[in-house]
Amino acid sequence: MTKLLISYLLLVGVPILGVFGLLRLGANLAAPVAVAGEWLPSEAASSGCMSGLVGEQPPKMTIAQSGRLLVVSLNDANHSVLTGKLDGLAISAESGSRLWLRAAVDKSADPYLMQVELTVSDCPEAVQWSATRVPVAQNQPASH
Amino acid sequence: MPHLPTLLIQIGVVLVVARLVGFLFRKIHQPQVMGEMVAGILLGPSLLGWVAPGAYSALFPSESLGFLSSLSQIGLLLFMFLVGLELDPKMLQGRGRMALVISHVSITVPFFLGVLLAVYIYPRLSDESVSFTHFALFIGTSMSITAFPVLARILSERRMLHSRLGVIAIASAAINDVTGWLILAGVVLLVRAGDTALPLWVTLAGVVVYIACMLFPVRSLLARLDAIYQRKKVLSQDVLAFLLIFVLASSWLTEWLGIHALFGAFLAGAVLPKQSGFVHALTEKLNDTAVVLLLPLFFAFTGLRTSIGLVSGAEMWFYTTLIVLVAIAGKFGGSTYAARVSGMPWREAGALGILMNTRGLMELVLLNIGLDIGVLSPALFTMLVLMALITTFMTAPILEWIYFSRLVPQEYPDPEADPAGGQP
Repeated sequence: MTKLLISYLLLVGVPILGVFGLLRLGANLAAPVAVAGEWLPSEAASSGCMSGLVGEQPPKMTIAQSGRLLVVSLNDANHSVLTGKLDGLAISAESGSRLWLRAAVDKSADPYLMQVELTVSDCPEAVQWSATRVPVAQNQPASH
Repeated sequence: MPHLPTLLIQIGVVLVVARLVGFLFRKIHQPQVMGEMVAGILLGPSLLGWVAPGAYSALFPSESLGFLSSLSQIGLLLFMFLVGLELDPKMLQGRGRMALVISHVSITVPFFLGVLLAVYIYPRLSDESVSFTHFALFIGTSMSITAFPVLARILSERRMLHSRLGVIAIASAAINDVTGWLILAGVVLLVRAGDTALPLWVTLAGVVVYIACMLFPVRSLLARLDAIYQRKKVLSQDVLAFLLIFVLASSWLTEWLGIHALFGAFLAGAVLPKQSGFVHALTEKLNDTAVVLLLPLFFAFTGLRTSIGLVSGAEMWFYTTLIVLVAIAGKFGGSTYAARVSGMPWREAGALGILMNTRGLMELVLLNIGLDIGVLSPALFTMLVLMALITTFMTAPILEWIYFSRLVPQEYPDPEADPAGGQP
């Protein structure tokens, strides 16, 4: 009985104390910047061969985020989906060695802003635009 | 309802695939529910959306998913009500002390390891929109869950509900279930505290009043229904309708209080009187519709949200492996050691540990809540779904290996294929 009581106190009490300690320890941890949600384009500079892909208006972006892993969906003519990573405030993503996206997040703005550059394999020019974040809950099934 | 034809096709396809995969899983001595969970994954972007994106888009167009989601949620409410119905305080009689030790250890040890894991994965798999405390508490809870219904089904199929191992396992799982859902309700309350219109103290007071009302006056009122049933020996449609309204009202109240509708459905089942055949008759009326028709829709909806493609590259698979190992070490290790300390021989303690390690669909329920409230990222959701599948899948073969084939095999004969399929 005594052995069982001591074991109970050790196996239940110590983990509970450990949880409180870890919660205090983890309060200082920093997670990657939140970029999930929709990013609406504001202004663009595109010309020539890029206009065939993005049209006159740069595409709206929807980002699904899992830590540093990102899935970027564009509402361009091809409904392109790029996968990439977040490194600090810099985003790099690509789609099948055909489409590359580079972006920098501006955390000082509210809501966040992003400077985006998109390049395509068979086009020497790049399209650049800025986008504003519209955060959304990540609660829907995978989009098509 | 413009999407009715699509919805009907979706339900038909989900049912066919769920029954088919469930049948195949029964052939390899896995519970039907394991096959149905896998069927949901197969219908999602992880397989169908990957090999036949056109068919996937046609079958599950984004704009139709709201209907599928609503139906699956109703099914889940009914299912949680049925899980609550299965909880009988008599399970604890005469074995409360050992079950209490095992169940508490089987919660605290995996919870601690889950929080420890959270310290490592928070900077890698979460983002700044989720606080570390919420994230860690949720990961801890997800490691602590035991699938009480699946465990009960396995014990029942092996005719060991009344064995020493069976009674301790079922009692421990019952305590674990109630404690786990209380912890989850607390975590959801914390996470949603900033979003609800009610101040936190009002919500907390409301939850205490709600639980007190359910345990005392409501329980007494429900005992009268039991008395009516004992007199008439028939569960009338009026009584059934009243109970369904009771479940819906309880679910609505807990959702309004901010601790999730599923908790209300679960508690509604838990407080119903268990003395007579009343609960059995009620379960018979609801079980087939909830388990055969509606639950596979929940698995399909979970599958639609699970994208194994997100777990790509060595780094992501490393995190997945780590999550699975921590889950097993905490639950299997903690339960086994607690059972051993409580006086069980090692082999029996190991069998209990592997039973408690079964997470099954209860884990999927919890993970969907985590995704809904934004605590889990899509990739982490997928990793935890894989953990739930692996820990559920491993139960039957390991139990066979460490227990049935070596310890009194004549006492627990392998049952013939169950035509009902061993439902969850």
